Amino acid sequence: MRRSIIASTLALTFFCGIYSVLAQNTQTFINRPLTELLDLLESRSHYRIYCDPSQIEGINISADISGTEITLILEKALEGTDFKISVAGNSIFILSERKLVTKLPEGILDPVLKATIASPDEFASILEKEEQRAASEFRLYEIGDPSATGMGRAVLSGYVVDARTGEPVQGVYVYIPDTNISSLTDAYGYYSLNLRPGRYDVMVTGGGQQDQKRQVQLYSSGKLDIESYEKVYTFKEVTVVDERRDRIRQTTLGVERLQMREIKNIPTAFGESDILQVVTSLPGVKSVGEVSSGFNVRGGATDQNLILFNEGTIFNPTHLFGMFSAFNPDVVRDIELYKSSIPSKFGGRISSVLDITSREGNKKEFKGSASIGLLTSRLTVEGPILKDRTSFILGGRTTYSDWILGQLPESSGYKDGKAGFYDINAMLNHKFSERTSLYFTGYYSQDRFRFEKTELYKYRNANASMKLRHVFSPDVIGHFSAGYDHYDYDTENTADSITAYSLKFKIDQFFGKADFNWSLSSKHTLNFGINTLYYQLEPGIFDPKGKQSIIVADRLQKDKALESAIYIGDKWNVTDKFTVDAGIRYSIFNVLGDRTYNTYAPGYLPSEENVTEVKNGTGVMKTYHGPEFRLSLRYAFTDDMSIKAGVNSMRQYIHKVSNTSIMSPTDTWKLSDMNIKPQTGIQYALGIYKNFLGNMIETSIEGYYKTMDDYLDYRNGAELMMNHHIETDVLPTKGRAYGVEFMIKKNTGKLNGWVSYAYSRTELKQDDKRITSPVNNGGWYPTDFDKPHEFKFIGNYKFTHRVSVSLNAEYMTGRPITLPVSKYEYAGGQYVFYSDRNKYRVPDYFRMDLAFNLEPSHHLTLLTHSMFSIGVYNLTGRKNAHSVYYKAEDGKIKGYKLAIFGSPIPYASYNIKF
Amino acid sequence: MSYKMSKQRHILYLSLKGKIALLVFAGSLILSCVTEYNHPGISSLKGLLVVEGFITDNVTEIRLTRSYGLEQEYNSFFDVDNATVSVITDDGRVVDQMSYAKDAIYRLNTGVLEPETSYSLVIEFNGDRYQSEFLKPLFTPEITDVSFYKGGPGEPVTALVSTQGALDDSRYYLWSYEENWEYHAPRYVLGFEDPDKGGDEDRFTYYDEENGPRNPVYYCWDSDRYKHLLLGTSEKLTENRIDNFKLYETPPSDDRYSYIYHIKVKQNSIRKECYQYLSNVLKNGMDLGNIFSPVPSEINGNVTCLTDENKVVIGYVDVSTNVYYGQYLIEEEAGFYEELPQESCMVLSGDDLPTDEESLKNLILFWGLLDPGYDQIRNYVRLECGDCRASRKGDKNKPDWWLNDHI
Repeated sequence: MRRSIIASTLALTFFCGIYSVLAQNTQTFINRPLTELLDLLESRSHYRIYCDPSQIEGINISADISGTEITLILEKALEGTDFKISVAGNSIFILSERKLVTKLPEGILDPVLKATIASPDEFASILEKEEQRAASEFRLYEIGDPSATGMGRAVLSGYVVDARTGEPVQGVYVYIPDTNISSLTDAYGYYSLNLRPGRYDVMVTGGGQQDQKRQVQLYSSGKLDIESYEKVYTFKEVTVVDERRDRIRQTTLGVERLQMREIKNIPTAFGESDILQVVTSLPGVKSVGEVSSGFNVRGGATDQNLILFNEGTIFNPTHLFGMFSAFNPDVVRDIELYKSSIPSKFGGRISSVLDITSREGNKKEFKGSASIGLLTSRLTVEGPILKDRTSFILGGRTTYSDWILGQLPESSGYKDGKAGFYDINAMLNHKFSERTSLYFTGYYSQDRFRFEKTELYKYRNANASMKLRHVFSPDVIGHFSAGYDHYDYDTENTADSITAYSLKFKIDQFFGKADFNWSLSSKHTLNFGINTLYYQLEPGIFDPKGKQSIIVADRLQKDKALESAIYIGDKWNVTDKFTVDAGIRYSIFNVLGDRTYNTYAPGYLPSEENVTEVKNGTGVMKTYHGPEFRLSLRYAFTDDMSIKAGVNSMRQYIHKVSNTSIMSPTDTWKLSDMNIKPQTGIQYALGIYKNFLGNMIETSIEGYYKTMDDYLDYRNGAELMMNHHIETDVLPTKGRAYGVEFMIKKNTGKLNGWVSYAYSRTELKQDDKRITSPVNNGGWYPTDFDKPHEFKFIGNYKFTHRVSVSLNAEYMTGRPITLPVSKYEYAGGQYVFYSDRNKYRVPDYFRMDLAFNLEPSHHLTLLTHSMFSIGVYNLTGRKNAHSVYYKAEDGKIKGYKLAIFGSPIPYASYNIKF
Repeated sequence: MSYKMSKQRHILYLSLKGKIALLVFAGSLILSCVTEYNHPGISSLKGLLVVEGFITDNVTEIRLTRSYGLEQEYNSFFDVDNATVSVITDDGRVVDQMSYAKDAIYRLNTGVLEPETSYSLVIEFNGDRYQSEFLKPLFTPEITDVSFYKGGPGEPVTALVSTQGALDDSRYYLWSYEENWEYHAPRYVLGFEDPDKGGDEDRFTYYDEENGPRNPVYYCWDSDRYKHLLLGTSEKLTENRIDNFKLYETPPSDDRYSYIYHIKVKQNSIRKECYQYLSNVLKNGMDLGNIFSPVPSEINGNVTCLTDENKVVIGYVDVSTNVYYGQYLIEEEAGFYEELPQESCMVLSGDDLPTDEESLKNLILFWGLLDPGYDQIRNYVRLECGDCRASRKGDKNKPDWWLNDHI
């Protein structure tokens, strides 16, 4: 393993410059820059010195330079630092913590080594063997049976795993250069290449890992596991997974992959790494304002995003009313956001899928990490139970945010309030064999808050799932999973014994999925499967609390339904340049009884006056079904330029019931039923991708047009809580969204990051003729999150390999709001009359954040590694308007602007790994 | 009369989001800020007809005004006093008609409302004819209690109303109230100087409450009324009962509690549609701007313009009988009042007295010995100490039904 580190490091070390020849007569060198010493030594000798300039910048050193042996001078000078020197011929390499192997290892000139020999018949037994991981770039690995005919096709498959922790690495590209044969490692690090027998250089890149090559002589199907190393000298802080060429190669559009380790240094409001905050910094993703629980993707509503955490659905992804995301950053490994090309295995929401995957835990040794922030602390432990077979990770997070309320003045009335949360993650996985692994995941989070002693509000997310992964053959893999998702909230008010009450809402989901991946040939990779989801909602339970309460107990009927889908997709490499990713998903939604429901007079919108009959239904009361199409096309003009087009259609059977601009902890959800149709959406997208300067600069332009039907908007004055016939308060609404997103990204170098600009519009319309008073007279009106112009910058500058500075900047058009246009006297006070919906906008938004990060030392021998960040959120202290509103005070109407963060917010956080 | 009741709570789940919003709002207050702001470029919609009032038994009072721009202040220009207002029935009778308004209020004599008759309000104004929906009268149940609550020293004083109706009565209520209170000046001026009594007689006369003359500047009266819509419902309760609905809350230092206070509460039963309409009006004016505030919207009332259906009319005219309840709060019994530290009301004389005339105008003679032949003595107090009209904003307009007989 050590050799592989050295070899790969050698391959990746780059020439740092030839120093000019400067005659120096001085014999001592005291506290001067290392770069100067290198210049001097190089000028005095025939050696050329190679290093990473960013590592040595800013380092001062003292040395005795009276000797003649350059290597000795250098070794002495570097004593006490992390740097090691390696000499090869006339070259000296300076590396941090590593020495190069400058002689070939013994046996390297022996005949080629046999890493794994397998024939299709032998595959099963090979899989059962102990792992043999290919670690060397210089060896030739023979795969398969040499006696095979060399005809037909052979599948080269295996896992890419982190050399240090043994955890799989997702999102790594394994490909054969100069062909379109490639595979992106899945969540288990698995890849599969369909090849003809022969000699190949297998390239491994991306995923934040060091670029690597493996030489393979492929006789027949076989396995090649690859150990990879995280890049330590790239400037990783804000780099979206180092895909570089991936955007060119991938057929999909509008897919963003981020790894948790790469977003930890992005400045946030309270110094807590926050997934959702980073998600909203991506082009095409917006939120209504700061402290928003939900996000909007390409014009979709907040409930149109499917948020999956280890396959479980998260209904409320935030803590503390949106200040923190519900995901523990120490446990999360990576996230994928599908804005456009949504794989056919996903369904159920019409806007996007945010797929969050947790880590599996270190498979080699016990490790832990802890963090202390202004508002939260967290602790994570992980390690092997059976080395390389069973591992676990356990994470917990809690808050001490009650102090926020304690800071309030007595007059606020909330000084004695409480607010807090905690969450727990647990993951356990066991590898039965090379073919079969089992994964258990569990997640539980709870928020609780109270304003006074007699009030209590709580909400909870809970998920538990089990997944079996089985490799049937190198080219056929199956995943079988089952799980349970839960969300509920519970409120109580016992201030007055007569009207004391409790109100509860609950969603339970049970799901089962079978997903298969079949590498049919070098041209076709099929994904197919079936999944089913059973919903059971308690939309509202309103009960008296205490014996004296005279509240009428009320309970909304349970919502039950079964959503099933079957899908198949094919990634088809038509030619080297042209690929097609096509899929179809057919979803069926069964509304289940027992329940009563109203029928309404045809031609009229549901209302109390139009009820024609009250019916009782049992069993399958109604079925909605329909196909969903997914198509992406890619044509690569060159290695660094491609054009893509895609179309996605989606269906959604569950709807958030809310008339607020942003998600609230007390929002409820409603299933489609006899009177509420599913929402449908279709998106067309087109993108051009071009890399420059040897793929160092990525650029892209993506445009989209999206339509939505049967989106639920609400009647003016709608009553949404404990409403037994919510269909009488909703209005069928059409939506459209369109936009274009530009992005320039630099992944490498001292300065890296991205700049994006998006122009986008999203509008709604109520043109159903049955609506007597449609919003804005039936014309198009902007949604609450329609912000046409959006400019985002995320940048990082690395001073040394440990010290960096990050800067974010964001500008957006102000969000639409509905403002009063008139005021009048009524009932002793002044009141206001409102304009058309969303006719005006709050002032434009601008924010800049700055962070300084001190990365952990890479000393492997240290017991602990700590990371320290300090930063300022909203550096300019701009009072960005969250809302503008008019309200009566002492009988007079006054206008106000509310800024959530009206000043710069400094923060500090400290993380320690042990 | 009850002064101490359990603290009123009428927050049902409907206000939950508002509460959360307040918490977020409050929580972020440390970092956030609310600043006064007038959004530029709003094109005002002025001149909408505003119809305020219900058709009630006895005297129906309808106030007609027009809406005005956000940047404007209300003035009598927005009063509508040239309309003709009628109450009609569904069988074609005109109950009363009025073309005269005082302060934009049209008073119509509607007498006793017939349970099986539907009533409608008709307004003819500027060539347009407006009409409210025909509705049968709702008969409002009695107010069972009006009470006052104070949690402890320094705590605010809350006025509360309770009612109970039959189960099949309307479950929705609207309240309004008028307040009157009597207070007195900090110092009782002992008498007055009569300049007409010049010469050698005593020009200083002592006040005598029993045999007169009485001190005319010691007692004053003041009044106020409700400031916003007061709506309540018992729809989620097993009984049609409202316990201790909060009418208002004021600090204990408010001078209305300093001596004798009276509140007259009016209660109307209203329909669910009226409740929804007025709730929306209230929400639009009171409950916006928070993070979880619902998107504001307008809903239609029940008054339409018959001659131009595009004309927007603000208001909901329900048909409901009035019920009143009067309640005194006497400080001597309640002990709610907590007087704020006042500027000294010490008696000034001799060298303490200012010499300039302007300053002397701000003094009132407290006591005097003005007999000729003796040293004339004049003691003063500041005007706000001795004259109730100067100490607060009240006057001598005592309600004719007030419980005592002093002036």
